Amino acid sequence: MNRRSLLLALLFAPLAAATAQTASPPVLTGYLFYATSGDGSDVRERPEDKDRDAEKFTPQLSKVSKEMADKRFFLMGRHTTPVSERYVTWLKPTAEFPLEIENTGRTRDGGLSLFWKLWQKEREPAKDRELLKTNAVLLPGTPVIIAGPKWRSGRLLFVVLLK
Amino acid sequence: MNTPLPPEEDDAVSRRLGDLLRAHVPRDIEPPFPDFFNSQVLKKIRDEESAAAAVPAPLRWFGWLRSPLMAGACAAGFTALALISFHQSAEAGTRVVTNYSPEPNVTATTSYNRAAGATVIMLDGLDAFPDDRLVTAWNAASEPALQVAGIR
Repeated sequence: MNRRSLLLALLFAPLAAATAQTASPPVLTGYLFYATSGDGSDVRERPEDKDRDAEKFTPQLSKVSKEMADKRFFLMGRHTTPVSERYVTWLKPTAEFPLEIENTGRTRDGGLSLFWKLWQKEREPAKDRELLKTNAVLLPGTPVIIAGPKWRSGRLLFVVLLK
Repeated sequence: MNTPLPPEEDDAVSRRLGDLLRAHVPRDIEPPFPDFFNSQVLKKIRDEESAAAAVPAPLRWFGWLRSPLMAGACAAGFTALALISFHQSAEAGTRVVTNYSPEPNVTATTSYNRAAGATVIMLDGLDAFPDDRLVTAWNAASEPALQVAGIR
């Protein structure tokens, strides 16, 4: 690569990056946490799931309610996916509680408007239950935390985050 | 109309709208496809707001802009607007517009938890998920691959 083409590449690289950024769809990440007073022996936390995001959420989760103040939080699932503008998107940090998401557009303050249903899968698919229906506007970096059902010695928590 | 409402006012408006709908729509009529109806109503509101924002100002306003004092006034105005806008965006954040559970005994309450820096939805009255059920977790980007969150 000669100097001229290198110079051109340097000039157009930011433009290309900006174009790619505006064209890329919004990305959501869903996390599943298990909050328990126990030592977590009834689940096995996988070390590979200890990412920086999960560690960041632990102080937030402990402030959700008085019930959560003395709990330990085990990250059990995580799923990151782009949100389609035309079709339903499924966010599945766990197979048992998938989130069915409809993208209803961008807001003027840069938020992402979503309509979602939180499902609980049953052993028979015909008996799947809708636990929650939500219209929300998500802004990057500020999560929605859903305190879900109790399970074993603790409670399941879902976190939805716009990247 | 074009300024985003703070979450508390937004909730109050939503509640008033709900009360109005309950007062005027007969309870024995089940709306067809209610989820789609709700999302389309919200989409329509946003479209109308965007269209209103895009309407150009009347020409007579340009007369004010010719005044020499307008430059200073505009600068001060823009600064104030920028500060207000920054303050509102910092306060507004992620917000839940409407929220409910179709389950008969379940209540879904939403609040912004300042300490947690997050919007929190509490589902109360849910049946506990059976202890003998496994929770199979996904860990993937875009295309999920099933992994089992090893339950002992």
